[in-house]
Amino acid sequence: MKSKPTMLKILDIVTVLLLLAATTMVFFYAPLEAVMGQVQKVFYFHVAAGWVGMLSFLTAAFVGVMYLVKNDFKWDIVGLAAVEIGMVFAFINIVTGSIWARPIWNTWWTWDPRLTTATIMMLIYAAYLMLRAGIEDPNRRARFGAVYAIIGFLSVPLTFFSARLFRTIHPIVVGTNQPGAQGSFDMTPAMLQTFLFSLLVFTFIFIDLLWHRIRLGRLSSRVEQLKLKSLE
Amino acid sequence: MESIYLEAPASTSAYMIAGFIVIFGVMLLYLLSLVVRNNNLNQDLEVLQELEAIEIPESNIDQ
Repeated sequence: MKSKPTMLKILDIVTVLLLLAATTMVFFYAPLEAVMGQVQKVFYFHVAAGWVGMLSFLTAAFVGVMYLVKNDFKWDIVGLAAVEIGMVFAFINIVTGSIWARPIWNTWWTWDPRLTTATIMMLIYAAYLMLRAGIEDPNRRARFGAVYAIIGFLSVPLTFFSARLFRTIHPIVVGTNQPGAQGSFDMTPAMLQTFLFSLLVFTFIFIDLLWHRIRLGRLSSRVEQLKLKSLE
Repeated sequence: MESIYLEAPASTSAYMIAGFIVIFGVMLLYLLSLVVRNNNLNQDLEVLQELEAIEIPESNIDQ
């Protein structure tokens, strides 16, 4: 495998430093929320993880279109990389949400529209990985994966808008909360700065991980080609 | 007379710690999985390249 590009090495270092800065802001700069206490601090990375999940699935849908148009395998590698990263961050989002909900809603889980649509979204992308694992022909696997990523993306806006369209207890950050929302709070300027900075940092994490995962995908593709060649 | 309002934030630090363990733990596990898969693929690549190098002289003999 080719050695790591200098730009990627720089991005790795910058991303780690930014994550350290964001964590410092969460603990030492953002004030303690008056009602919820310490657990509210999970909110900054909980929302940022959700953002990365949705950004990953958007990327997968976009590169799915690119693959179908160009018929180039490099887009398939990016699509798989994006979905895998999206799954990791969607999982973080759901689990941290559940941990936050226990003291605030007095339950680990409730079949609220936002929680339900987020779970369905994750299951849809878990099925994407299962579908790919079940197809041996690389052309067919890439084509099916691209179409699935485009159709599967419908679950992303549904999840995003579920807390705005349906009656829900899940608080929202942008827009007006539903009357029954529990655990909502008004952000002070320091809280808002920490929140926006966390979103930026997690975007850096996404780009950095995507780059690494694409390199892994290329290596995997090369090994697969050599295996097929050795079988001929 | 007792106040009906909260005087201090709720004590929820255990949940906060659990939340951050999940956030950093899952990210670290994913990074570890990338490193392990990368090492395994590099080993596979080395073996396949060695096999390819062995096969080429044999095919030359056939010709």
